[in-house]
Amino acid sequence: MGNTAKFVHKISKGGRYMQVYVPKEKEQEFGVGDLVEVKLLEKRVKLYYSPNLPKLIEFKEQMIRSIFSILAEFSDIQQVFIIGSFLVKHVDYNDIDILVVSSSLDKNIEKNIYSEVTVKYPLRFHMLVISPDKFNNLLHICPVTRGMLSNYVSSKPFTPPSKIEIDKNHILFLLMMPEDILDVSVESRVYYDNLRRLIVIERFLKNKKLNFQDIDGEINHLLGSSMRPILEKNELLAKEDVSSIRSKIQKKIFIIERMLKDEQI
Amino acid sequence: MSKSKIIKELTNLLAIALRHRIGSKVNSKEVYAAKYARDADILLREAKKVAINEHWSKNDKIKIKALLNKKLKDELAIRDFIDNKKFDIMESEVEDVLNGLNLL
Repeated sequence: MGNTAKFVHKISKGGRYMQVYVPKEKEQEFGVGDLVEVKLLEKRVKLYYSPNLPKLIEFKEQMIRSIFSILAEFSDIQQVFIIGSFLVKHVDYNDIDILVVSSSLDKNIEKNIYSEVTVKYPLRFHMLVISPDKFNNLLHICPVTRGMLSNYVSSKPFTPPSKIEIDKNHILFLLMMPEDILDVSVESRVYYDNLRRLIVIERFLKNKKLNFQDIDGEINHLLGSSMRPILEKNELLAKEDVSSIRSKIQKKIFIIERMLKDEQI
Repeated sequence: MSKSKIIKELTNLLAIALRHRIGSKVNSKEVYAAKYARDADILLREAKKVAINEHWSKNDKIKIKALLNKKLKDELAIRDFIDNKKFDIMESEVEDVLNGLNLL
């Protein structure tokens, strides 16, 4: 017998040790006392869901597993999140958002990750690569980041820090776009995204949960069931509707600015 | 709309778009630059819609550049939450955006 004898099996959990069983039909080749080598062929990819996210359909889970598996080949990548509408919408999701926490921010890494993923899945991906330190900082100060991570599927367990910090300059930076679209005419979807951003900022400052369901409820309440789909689908808005939405945006900005001036913040 | 009004509208849009783009580049905490840069892209798209339908003379282009520089400087100056490095890259960003719109 040469050294070609082999079998493929999954590791299972034993009482004290992890174990690999030798199949009964292989006992002629693999006997007690023989020396063997165990080699990892494929890492089992586990998906970690955010608490309120319903289980995804098999196709999506399979795709995420496959993406995580591709990205596991990059040694600098510490954690990968799938976020955004892909997780909550059945069909009409936009890009597939991938947030990558990586110790290397080499300019090529984003390009390499993108090309590896799109070779397997020729879809529209939006890739964001950030360092662990900055990611950790953003989790404390950035409402948008926290909001985005209210729904996720992660390659590792994840719990956002419960303590937040109010970084006034950062919030003011986030308010720039909502303020600008009070004067500048933009496509209707932009009003929707910015109203959503304001809801997230307000809830962050009030230390409220940023989960998708609550934010969705608030946006429904603000826009009503007839206006929301028009904005979401980026359809043309009547002049009076633009005024009405701008007034809602302005009110939200006013509330946020007042909170920022508040001594408690 | 008269040409001078179009130039006014175009430079307003470009100044705001560039303020977003520069802000996302220089603010060290805006590591989520790729996301915030989308704001700049949205506004640049609106500026392109204004620029594309006009024939611009050499004189117009000089006027646009001068006006944009002034407006952008004002836009950046009043926003002290954007890092002061903003003024260092202002000129190159103006060149870059005007070049992209064939306005240099």
